[in-house]
Amino acid sequence: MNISYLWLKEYVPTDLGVREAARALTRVGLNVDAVTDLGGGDARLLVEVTSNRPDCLGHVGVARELAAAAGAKVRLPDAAYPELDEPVEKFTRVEVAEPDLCPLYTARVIRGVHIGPSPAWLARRLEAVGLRPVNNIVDVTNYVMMECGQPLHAFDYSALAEHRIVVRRARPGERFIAIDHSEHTLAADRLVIADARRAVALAGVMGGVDTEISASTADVLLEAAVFDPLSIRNTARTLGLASESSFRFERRVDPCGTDWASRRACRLICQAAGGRVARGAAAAGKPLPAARELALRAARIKTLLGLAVPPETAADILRRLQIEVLQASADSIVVRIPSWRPDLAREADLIEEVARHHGYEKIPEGTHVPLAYAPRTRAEQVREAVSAVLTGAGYFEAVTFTFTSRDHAVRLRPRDVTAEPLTCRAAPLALRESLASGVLESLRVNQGAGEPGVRLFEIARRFIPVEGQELPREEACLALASRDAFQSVRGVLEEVFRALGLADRVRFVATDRYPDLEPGAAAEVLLDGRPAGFIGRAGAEAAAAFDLDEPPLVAEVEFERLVDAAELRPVFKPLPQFPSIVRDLAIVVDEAVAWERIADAVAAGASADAAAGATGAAELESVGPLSVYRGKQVPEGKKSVALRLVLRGAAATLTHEQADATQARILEALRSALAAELRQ
Amino acid sequence: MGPADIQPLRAEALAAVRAARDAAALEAVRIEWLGRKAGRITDLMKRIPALPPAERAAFGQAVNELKGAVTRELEARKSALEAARPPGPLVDVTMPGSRPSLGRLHPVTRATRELVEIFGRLGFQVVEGPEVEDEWHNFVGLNIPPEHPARDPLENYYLTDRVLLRTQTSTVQVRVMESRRPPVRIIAPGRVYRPDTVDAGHSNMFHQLEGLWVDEGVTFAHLKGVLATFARAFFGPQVRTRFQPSYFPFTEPSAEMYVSCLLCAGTGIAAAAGRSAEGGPGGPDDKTAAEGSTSGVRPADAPAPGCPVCKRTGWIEILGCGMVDPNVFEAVGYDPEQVTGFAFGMGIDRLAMLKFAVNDIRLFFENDLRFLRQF
Repeated sequence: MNISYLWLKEYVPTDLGVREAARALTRVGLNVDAVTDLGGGDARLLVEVTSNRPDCLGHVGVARELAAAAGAKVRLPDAAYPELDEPVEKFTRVEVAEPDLCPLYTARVIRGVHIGPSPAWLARRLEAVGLRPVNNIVDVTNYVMMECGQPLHAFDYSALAEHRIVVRRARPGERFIAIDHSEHTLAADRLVIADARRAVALAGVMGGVDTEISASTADVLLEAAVFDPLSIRNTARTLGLASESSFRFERRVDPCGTDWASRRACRLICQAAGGRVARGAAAAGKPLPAARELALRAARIKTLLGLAVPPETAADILRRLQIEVLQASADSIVVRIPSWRPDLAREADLIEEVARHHGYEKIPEGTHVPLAYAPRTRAEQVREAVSAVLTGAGYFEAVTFTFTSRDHAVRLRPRDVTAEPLTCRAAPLALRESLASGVLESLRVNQGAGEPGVRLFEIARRFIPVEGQELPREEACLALASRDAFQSVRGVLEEVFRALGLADRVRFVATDRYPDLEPGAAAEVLLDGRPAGFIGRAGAEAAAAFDLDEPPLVAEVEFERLVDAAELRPVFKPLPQFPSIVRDLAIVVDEAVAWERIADAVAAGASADAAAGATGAAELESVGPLSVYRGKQVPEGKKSVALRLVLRGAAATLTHEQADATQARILEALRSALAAELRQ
Repeated sequence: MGPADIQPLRAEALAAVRAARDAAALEAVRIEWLGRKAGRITDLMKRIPALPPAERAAFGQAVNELKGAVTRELEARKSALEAARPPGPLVDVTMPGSRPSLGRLHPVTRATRELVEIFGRLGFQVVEGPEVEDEWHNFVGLNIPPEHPARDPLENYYLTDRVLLRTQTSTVQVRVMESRRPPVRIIAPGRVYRPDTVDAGHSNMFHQLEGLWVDEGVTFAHLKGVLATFARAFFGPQVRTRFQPSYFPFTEPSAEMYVSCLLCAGTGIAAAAGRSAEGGPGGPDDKTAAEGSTSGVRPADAPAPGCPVCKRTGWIEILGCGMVDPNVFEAVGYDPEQVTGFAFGMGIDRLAMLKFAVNDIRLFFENDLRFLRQF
């Protein structure tokens, strides 16, 4: 809201300078964002008016606050003018067909005006608040709106069919040309101001070009009305016609001030354009709302603020705000709420008035905060552990957009998830069904920035629509992407699981469940035997969809599963008492034999050895791959796998003879299960 | 010449070896005594075949011993010289180290963690809520009526008639109070969404942290104490705070908290170039810096040129807060006569921008490595 300093001072007799006035307003919650010097002693204050204070969308409302802050009294301007003997009913008639959307409509008729430029003082005032002067009639309506916040509209009386007003909904397909010459076909629920034949204004939003004030206008019908905020907003938004007027109606105007605004405008029109006003106003709508009374308990002030404000001080503040104090005692204050303060409806609202003008700075900083136990949640702990592993492994954390294009939103989801992604109604945005799409988009950014080798991770949500439910399932996930080899990324994931105490509960199983992953280079991640995510190389088509030069490695794991399963408290196992024996072997197996089967056969052989019951038998502590070799000395279709066994005695130091025996049983198991041969 | 002649040679040779001061001198001594062509001991060896057979064995043995002793002494001297005077530095310490490749946390995560830690010490527990919300939790339960400007369809990402991407983390307040009895002391960090025009100061996805404390006897004084403590913990002990009346539908009374400007220390005067905060937080909206004739409200003692971060006011708005509105309590089934509470909400991205002097919010979501590795 633009406020002219000189204009404001007309209502507040104060010697506060521009800066002091701005600071006084800011202190009570009318934040002055900027002050522009206009010369001639005037300045424009850009006042931030919160949506609960429609009364401050005019200079008078701001003046009330300044007066209360400065201890001065507001002077309201004069709204009197000489009336014609002829009553307004002789000239016009008002009918409101939709009183819910238009609780009050008043019309006055001014006859014999002379259209021309406004007087200099009026034009200067409008320019001071950033409005362009048009002609003396339109300028007065704007002036009064900027004065008290009530939008007005002036019609060319002679252009109104039968000189009468009907407030109704638009007829289906009704056409309308606005003052800005934009043409509209109105939906049937739009509230319009009509004459006997057609819509002449979009109620509260914009007038029509047919009935606007022109150089030849001699008689004026002046509208001052109240419209339903939602109806105004819908019309203004749908038709793209937001205006100073619609802005104020959307925030509620003071129905008890409407008639005053009408009279004030008539007085100014008489001054600026000549003319004589017909007696009275044609009005229709609902009865004006009754004034509300409200009680404020003195003790409640301290309960809410932590500061006792004496009741007499509180009452004085309310009076300064022109809130009528009906009764004041040591315990309570009863007030009557002015019609321009729709925001004052509860006791707490009055306490805020007291606090604002008493000064927030007077409320002490309470530092006695009772102890409360606020441990980090499991999710926080898991997130920190996971992030520590990943940053240590060279991965940078990314934050990517939750919404993306429809194509990217469905990328990297499993074949069996087919729900159409949620989309925004007013924007071409879809909520992603996999988190990995975000990090892939960021890989592309870095490819463009000359950093194709970047490693990224993100912990955020994916959104899976659920049939029959209003809200989607939001699944927090961990996603990784990099240009590294499968084994490297898998290794990083393994470290993540290890850090959460889950190393033994995870398996990686080859999968073709993900259409966007390269067949033969993709695995499902199983946690406790249930799918919890994937890892794989993106397919060429998917890589191209993200504009990536090379298919990256990508992985996604359900974060909630990690949170649920994580063992955050490590449990110590006693250190081994006896030394281990390490045996490295190379075996030749078919190409198709996966490492997991080799490891299983080794474990089976070792347990067969233990079952054989030899006292002091060797226990298999670990088995791991050393290398895989194909080529000379290895037959076609086979591979040589070197592996390392670590054997240890449980109850005594293992002898080489015992280790030999165990190794033999393991080899036997490999031979029978996989037709593996020891490579010589 | 017999074995007896060897003894003085031995003393002379060993003395020469010991006298060598550096590798070159030592080499000269080696050549003098053991050189293949004309070494003095080599010469003795060459003579052996010419000696009478009876003398050969004794002489040969003596010469061999001499050669062995000199060789050992040469080796010992060589080692001693090398140990004492290395030929150059063992390592070039000015050479850059081979650094492990480490990743970093995102700056928004860094800021979030710091906030969570500060409020955690004040007893606030982290909770989460859904990012896709219904109108009840995003608006109605928060006392935001249908005609409130915030419910304008253009100000929200609606997915269906009644479901939208949450516009504020205040939704979590309602969810928590619906499911728990007081006392409640929580914070809720998370993503929020608004269809703003994207520029250096606005993103249509950003992060907020909501806080709520409800109990018997919680007052506006607690609000001020807790939030001023937070400001000092986050920005430093020198920071001053100011609470200014404001309006939020879900709090009454409401306030905005300002902190003294981090760049100009509350003077409003442009600080010397240092931190690259020019056009920084608040910068994109900073028309005042561009228009010579305008200036913000500022302390009377703060002359131009103005500080670009606080628009010459000396203060930066950090968060919105207030006492929980009685309508919110009633919506969740709390009795406003029994309990009181305060709530607050802040933009995490904006705090991170202030803290790390980032001048464009869009950088947070591009994930350009050149940006990410700076944190």
